[in-house]
Amino acid sequence: MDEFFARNRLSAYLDGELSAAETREVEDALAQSPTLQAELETLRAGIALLRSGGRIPAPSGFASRLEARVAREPMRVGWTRHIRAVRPEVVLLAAAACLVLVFAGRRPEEVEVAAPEGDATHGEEAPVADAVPVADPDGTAVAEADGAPAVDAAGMPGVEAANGVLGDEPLARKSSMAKRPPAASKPSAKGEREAYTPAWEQQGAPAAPPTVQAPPRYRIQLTSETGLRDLEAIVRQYGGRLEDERGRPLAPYPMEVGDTRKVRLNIPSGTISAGQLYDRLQALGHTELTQTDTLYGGTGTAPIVVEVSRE
Amino acid sequence: MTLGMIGALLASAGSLGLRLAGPTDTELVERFKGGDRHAFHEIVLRYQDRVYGLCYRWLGDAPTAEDTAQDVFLALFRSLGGFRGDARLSTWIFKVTLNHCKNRRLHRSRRGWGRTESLGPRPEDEGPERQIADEGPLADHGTDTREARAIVSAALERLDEDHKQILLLRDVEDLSYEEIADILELPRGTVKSRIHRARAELAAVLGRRIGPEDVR
Repeated sequence: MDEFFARNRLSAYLDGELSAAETREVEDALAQSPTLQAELETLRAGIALLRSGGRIPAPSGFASRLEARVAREPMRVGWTRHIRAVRPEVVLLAAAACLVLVFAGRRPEEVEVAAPEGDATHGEEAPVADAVPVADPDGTAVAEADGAPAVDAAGMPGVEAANGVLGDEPLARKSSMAKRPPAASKPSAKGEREAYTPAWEQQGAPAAPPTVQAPPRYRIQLTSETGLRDLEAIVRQYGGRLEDERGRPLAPYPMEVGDTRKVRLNIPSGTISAGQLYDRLQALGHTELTQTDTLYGGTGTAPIVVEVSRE
Repeated sequence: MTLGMIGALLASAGSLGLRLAGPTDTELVERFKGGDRHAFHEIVLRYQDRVYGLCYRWLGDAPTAEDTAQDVFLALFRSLGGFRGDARLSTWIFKVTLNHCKNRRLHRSRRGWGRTESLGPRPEDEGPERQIADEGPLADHGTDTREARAIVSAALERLDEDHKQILLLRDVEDLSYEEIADILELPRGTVKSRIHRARAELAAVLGRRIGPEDVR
């Protein structure tokens, strides 16, 4: 091993991180080079100096002051604990009730046959659409509900409220159904497609098309480029990747102060919820959850847009 | 006997090299997930010195370091229920601590805040129990712990941020290359080369600061 390679291995040599063969080679190089020996001693002295500073203890009363702050916090334990806490017979009963509801509410002919105009309870989503207020004939209430910011009881865009949204297939289908114009006037025959008139242009229907809602998106403010790096690591864990607005792999960093980047999170459906993602970023110190922080509601299949800003 | 005293006793036992049987981090996390708040208190006692020390070295003043360390533990409390144990708890805590420190520093620099306190010794460092035996070449030159800390702090301040953090993790916190690789999410080879470059930079800075005779 020549001196150059030995020099670059001196730190690892001091830390015992070299293989036996490399260690021998470095020691041979050291034996032949006084310069290298001096450099080794300089590195060793620097390490000794760093270690001589000792541990800096937390100030007295640190734990009790923390305890006072923590006492105001609710315990947040894993959701699976709540599942485990439920008695099996309750689970069976709930499952049976769900089955009854599903089969009672399902009218197979409505899957194929268009519902009457103004009837929001169309399609295979009938049980869900039944929950739409009757006063909302075009079904937009569902879309609005999907697109509304997830807000928890405290009025804060909530981690808990948003859980299950990202990658949540049923929610996505529900949303797409809701945004679709009412199927009442859409003919089923292929040849009649040109004659198709949207419901809102038909006589008696409102002249203007329904309001086109902006695609729901998430906006997560990250306070540093390390946040983007951690976000990427989390996304990769779930088999996804960060993309730019055109769907290309994201060109990485660096970001300057004040930069804002729009990042698409391409994550396989059903792997991680927005709430969980946000929670993890927050735990890593990349976001500070305040009243003004935003985590908008969204749908599962639409790409999620994250604005990364260093404000 | 208060919990604080118990914690201090445990810390003392640890510093003396005694191994007392106690719950592992994993067991404490599981207890916390089961609703045991006291498990969190034990985690705090176990890590408070390391978290605070890292914050202090990074931020340079005691009040900000304590605020930041408290924020770290608060974030830990809020998210510990979702901790899946993919990484070690210590790794996770260090990672969170570093991120909080960087954010705090960034936040402070935008407002033009400088250091409010010298990185030198604090009043509570005066006691003899804080005097740690000098080791290596420095002992020959009479450099005590407080002086060493001040010299190190000044030198670290002049390093590239990546170099500073890797030296704190390796040579102050005594973490392994694997742990550092996990915390910084770097390949092990990068950790190895970065540690070397950081030490070389530190040596260069120290050479100018205290003269070659002090580091020989």
